[in-house]
Amino acid sequence: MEKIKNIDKNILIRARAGDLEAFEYILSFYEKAIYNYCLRILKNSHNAKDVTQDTFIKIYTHRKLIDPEKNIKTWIFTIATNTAYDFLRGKKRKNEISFDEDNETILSFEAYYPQEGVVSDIDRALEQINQEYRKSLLLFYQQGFQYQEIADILDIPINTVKTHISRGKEQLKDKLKNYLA
Amino acid sequence: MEKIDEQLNSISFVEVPTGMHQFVMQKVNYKKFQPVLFVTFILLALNFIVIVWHINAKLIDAEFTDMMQDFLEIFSFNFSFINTVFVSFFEIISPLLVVSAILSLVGAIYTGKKINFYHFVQI
Repeated sequence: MEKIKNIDKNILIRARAGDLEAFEYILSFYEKAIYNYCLRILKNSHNAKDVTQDTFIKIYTHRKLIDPEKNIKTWIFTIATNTAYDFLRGKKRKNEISFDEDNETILSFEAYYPQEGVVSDIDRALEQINQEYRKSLLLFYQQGFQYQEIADILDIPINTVKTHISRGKEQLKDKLKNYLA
Repeated sequence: MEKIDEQLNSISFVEVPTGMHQFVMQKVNYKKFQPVLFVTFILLALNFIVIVWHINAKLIDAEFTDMMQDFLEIFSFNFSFINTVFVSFFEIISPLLVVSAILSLVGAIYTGKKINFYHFVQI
């Protein structure tokens, strides 16, 4: 698993001051994580690309809010989550896709994971569980966040995060059983 | 459950699409220079308007339309006639003023196109 580390404080200070090199460093550091997170939420590589781009442009626009003393990773993922929500709300308004979990457009995972053999059972099963549980699971396992950080990112209580992770794992277990059967 | 934990820890990452990094940097570069581009565009456009206004006022003062009508009445397509028209025009309006108006217009169009490109073009 590619757990991402934190960025040096001096780079954050420079980025806050508008230094483009420092910003590019932050972009290079987190773009893959953000893109993968958006991809799992939006289930469409084109939309995930747009939302990732918008996320980093927002980060630059609001760079004055960067607090070098705090963990920027949580802040970046909060922006990404809100940008993805806004995107989905916009899509819902346009009736392009339904926001409702049951009617959600389920795209084949292979469609954006074209390399053969990359898609595992867990990847497929993840696509079929409740979206809220999936987000918590991804932030915890794929992105390596703590419970409190996930609670901050998703703006939900910490106990809800724990419940989502636990229920998400239960749902995953059921889905994986189906695959094995 | 441990097996699920293990599997969740091995969730795959995909590479970012080609051009995404460059697109973000281009947009961010534009954001950085956006105020400068806007101010430049407005100054050049205003400069053009002021010069054109000034040229127009001078032409009205010199009764240039009447002069042109007289020229048209005796129109003939030869070098000395065209030269006379140009000399008369540039006696009223300084050539530097005309060059300045053209440069302001070209500059305004160029910065306007740049603003338009970075604002709307998706890579």
